[in-house]
Amino acid sequence: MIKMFSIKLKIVIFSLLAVAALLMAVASPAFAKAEDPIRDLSDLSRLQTKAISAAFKHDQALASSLARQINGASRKNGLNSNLALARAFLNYAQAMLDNHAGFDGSGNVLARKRAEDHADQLRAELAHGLRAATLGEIVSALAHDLNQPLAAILSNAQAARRFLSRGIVNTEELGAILDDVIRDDKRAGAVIHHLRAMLSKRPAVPESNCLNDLIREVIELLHGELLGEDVEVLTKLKKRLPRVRVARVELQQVIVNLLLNAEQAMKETPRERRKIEVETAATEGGVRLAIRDHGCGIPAGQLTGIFDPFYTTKAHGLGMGLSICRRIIENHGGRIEARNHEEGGAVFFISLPAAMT
Amino acid sequence: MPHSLVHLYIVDDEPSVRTAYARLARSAKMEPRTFASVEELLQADVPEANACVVSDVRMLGKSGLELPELLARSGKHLPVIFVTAHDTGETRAIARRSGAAAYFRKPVDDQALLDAIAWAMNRKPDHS
Repeated sequence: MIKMFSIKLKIVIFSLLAVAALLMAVASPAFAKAEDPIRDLSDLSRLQTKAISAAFKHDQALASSLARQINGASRKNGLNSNLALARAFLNYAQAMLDNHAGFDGSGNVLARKRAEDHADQLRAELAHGLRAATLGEIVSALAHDLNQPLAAILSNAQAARRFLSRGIVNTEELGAILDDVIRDDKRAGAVIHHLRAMLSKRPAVPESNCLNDLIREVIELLHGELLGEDVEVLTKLKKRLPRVRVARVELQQVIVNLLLNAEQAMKETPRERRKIEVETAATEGGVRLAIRDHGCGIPAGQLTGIFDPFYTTKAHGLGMGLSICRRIIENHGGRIEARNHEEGGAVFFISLPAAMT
Repeated sequence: MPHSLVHLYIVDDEPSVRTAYARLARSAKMEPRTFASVEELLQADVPEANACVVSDVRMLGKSGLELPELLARSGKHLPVIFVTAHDTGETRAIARRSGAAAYFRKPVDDQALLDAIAWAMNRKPDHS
């Protein structure tokens, strides 16, 4: 018989496991013991399911030990598997959130008001958890994106030193060097600023924004990560796009999710065809964003199901928080839907109402 | 030993990095040529004598780690030095196996890089 802890405790356990997965991915060496062999991603997926059901049964020791083993194996497979784990935990937590009345095994439905308060609080925690869930990938991209301007700044400054030591004082060249150093320094600062904004736990306040700016910032932030997978992002952003009233951080989180999903979907796509097309357009009353990939597409019967919290795909992904994305978009008065492109790959459409000034 | 002009071939897909390395090369009395990708270098007709390659690892298109082999296959004998923003144990291992002359993390110190270039080309380092 399954004992029932409070929903909140389960969520906390899951979130902790998710965060632990990420911390291990980012910081520590592998802990893997050779219990269950992990030969490939479907083994990983099987273990993740075991870990989740162990958490369900409140067997914290087993869940933790499985999580450690998974993390150890995930490191060999690269960071994405850890992300999948973290997202899986968060999706299950989300599922419980959405179905909290039904999860009380005794059959009693929790008092509605109490349940809704719980839900709001946990939703906020989850949204934060989801932001943190992309931290692993962001940290990796960050190292790359900061090292580039730092490298340019150092070499520029040292070149200037050498010229001066040789008595070569070309004020035009030195001026150009300083201009480049200043520009690269600001670029590095912007990368850090975006990261902090995305990780901030402040409740997001909707403001008038241009979606194109948000998109450009996300693409800049993910530049290193996408580059590492040979993914090219092509943008067609409508000039003078009507502004929208959105919480910047939340919208950017949705865009990050969709881009990383697109990247995942193209894991089997030949490298030269790994393209993501991002397009914005004005509509009657608002704006529309389309993100198209050239990946494996969405199974025909699942075009709405993918937004459900329980949705998981096979070995290569365990749900990417699309249900949270949908919640964010709908909270902003918009809609999100997915279709398959006739020439292959999936397209995600987001529509948002224009900001009333 | 008299210095004849060293040709430095810089391969990096980041424009600000290419520019900065080219400046460094000129400040150290070398002649730089910059390339945005492995493919660009391979397609260019570059003199082999007195030359060295400084390359990034992760770029759009072919990884820099393929350079030593691709250069050898095309009959060019050029030492390759890696400078990477993406330093991992795996990258280092592959770089070692590929026959790279040296391997640095970004940001790289100028003297360290110049010493490595000189060493790779068996010349006296330039300390001016």
